Amino acid sequence: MVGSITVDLLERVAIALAAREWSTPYLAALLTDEGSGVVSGAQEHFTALNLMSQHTLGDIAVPPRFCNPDALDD
Amino acid sequence: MTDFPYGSIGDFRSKVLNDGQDAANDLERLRQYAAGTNPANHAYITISGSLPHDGKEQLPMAGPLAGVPYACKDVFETKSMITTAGSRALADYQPKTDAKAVEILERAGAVLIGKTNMHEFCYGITGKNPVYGTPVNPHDPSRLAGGSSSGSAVSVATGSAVFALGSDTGGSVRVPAALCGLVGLKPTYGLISTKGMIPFCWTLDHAGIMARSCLDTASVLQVLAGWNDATKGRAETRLERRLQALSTEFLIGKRIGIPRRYFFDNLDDEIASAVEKALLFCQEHGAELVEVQTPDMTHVRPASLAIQLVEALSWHGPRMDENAHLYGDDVRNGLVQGQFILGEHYVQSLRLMELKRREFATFFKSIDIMITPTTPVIAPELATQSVSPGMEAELVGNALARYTCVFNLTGQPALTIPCGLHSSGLPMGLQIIGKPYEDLSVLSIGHVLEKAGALGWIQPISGVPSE
Repeated sequence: MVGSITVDLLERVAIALAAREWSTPYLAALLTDEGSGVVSGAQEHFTALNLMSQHTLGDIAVPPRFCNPDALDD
Repeated sequence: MTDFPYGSIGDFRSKVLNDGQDAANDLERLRQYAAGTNPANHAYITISGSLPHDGKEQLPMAGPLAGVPYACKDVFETKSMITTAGSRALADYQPKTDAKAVEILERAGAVLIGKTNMHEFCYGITGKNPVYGTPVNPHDPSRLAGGSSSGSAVSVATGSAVFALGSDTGGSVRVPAALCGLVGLKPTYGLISTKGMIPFCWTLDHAGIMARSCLDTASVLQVLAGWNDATKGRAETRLERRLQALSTEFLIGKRIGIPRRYFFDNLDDEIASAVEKALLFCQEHGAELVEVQTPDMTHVRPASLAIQLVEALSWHGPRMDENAHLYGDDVRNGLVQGQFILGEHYVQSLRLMELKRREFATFFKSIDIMITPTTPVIAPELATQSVSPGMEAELVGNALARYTCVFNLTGQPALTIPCGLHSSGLPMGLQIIGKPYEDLSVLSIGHVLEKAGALGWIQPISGVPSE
């Protein structure tokens, strides 16, 4: 489980680590139940991602790109 | 012109061959119909100002889609019309070239009626768009059409286009097609070019097709996938002839996988019954129903979203310093959320994608196709935030994409076909999934069910122009 996410915490990360000042006015919305309005709320989503990260995937490597004909066009 | 807007690709092609001027006049009437109905249904962002309607000479006469009117989601770049991706941030963007898919369709003779409305930057499955208006469900305007290819579905369902291009990152072709009573194909990953499509998520984006029949869908796929067609100027393509020759005998010996767990959980009772009825029909006509063990789906939706948000942020991030205020709340908030997803989460999501690809590949060794409902619910009301098809309430976005998003991870072809009407009068959809590059098998099964009337007929909606 992750600890509580606060606007202050998100703001520190957004500015200090990600250098995305533009995002700070919108951080509070992530903490509502609806989150972005389409995906789950941030707390729920990050909890799910952290659970996923604890899942052992054995010898599966990052997959190569699918065969994409567009990649051959240029 | 009572039945004209619901003509098939074959009908339009025949008309062009028989009387080009008459066909040109019909196209112009369709364009005017699209413009006249747009203020109410919000299907289009831009409608073509002119069509090749001044005479036989200007109408495409050759090509497998000669004179066939189509609509195109406003995420595909077009040199003849602006490409907004449903956003104020691109309100004036005029591409210099056509997307590859548009270029191919033009070469095949198809005529672009307009660029369709969509969930901004393909971000959501509801199709809501506060800037250009939310496309409404043609079967009930108080309901969502679904998204993100919302306008594409509405254009085809209301008859202003015979087929439409859409894009599908987690269900964005199949969900609106299902909610609006259409056929919708997400082909095998990469089968239709995404070049010139404003990206949402390179790893999961698929270009797809919506139409009113599997036959029409097959005709368009044949062109877009580059499968050779030597029948230029004829009233049918080879693929159409091949499908038309099929009967229910095609079902004999087919092994149909039914993943009861997850794909039939928290599902509207009437949708469940409709899918069961279709499965029974297949069994009665010689198919073998195989109960398959569904792979663990616990992490699928979070992984899909993690890949989407991170890749979307990669494209939009550099534009946000100047343009953040032009984005809709939901898209912007999703991008804001994306910056907190760790590199480890992204990599783990890609590895999970590979795991699901392997797991589905393994159990597809013992089956030919898999059948599931397309969505667990019928079209929700416009203001709906969450739905409760079974015991549990969930966000409408999560619910609508629940049965579709995994196949963007695996890259398999997945088709939705209409599966009758709910007692509310709204369409229900059935999803057919095949092995990679076996798109034709999926369309063949869909066509046989459609042709046999196994799934119930969906009446065209009202609003058809008449002379």
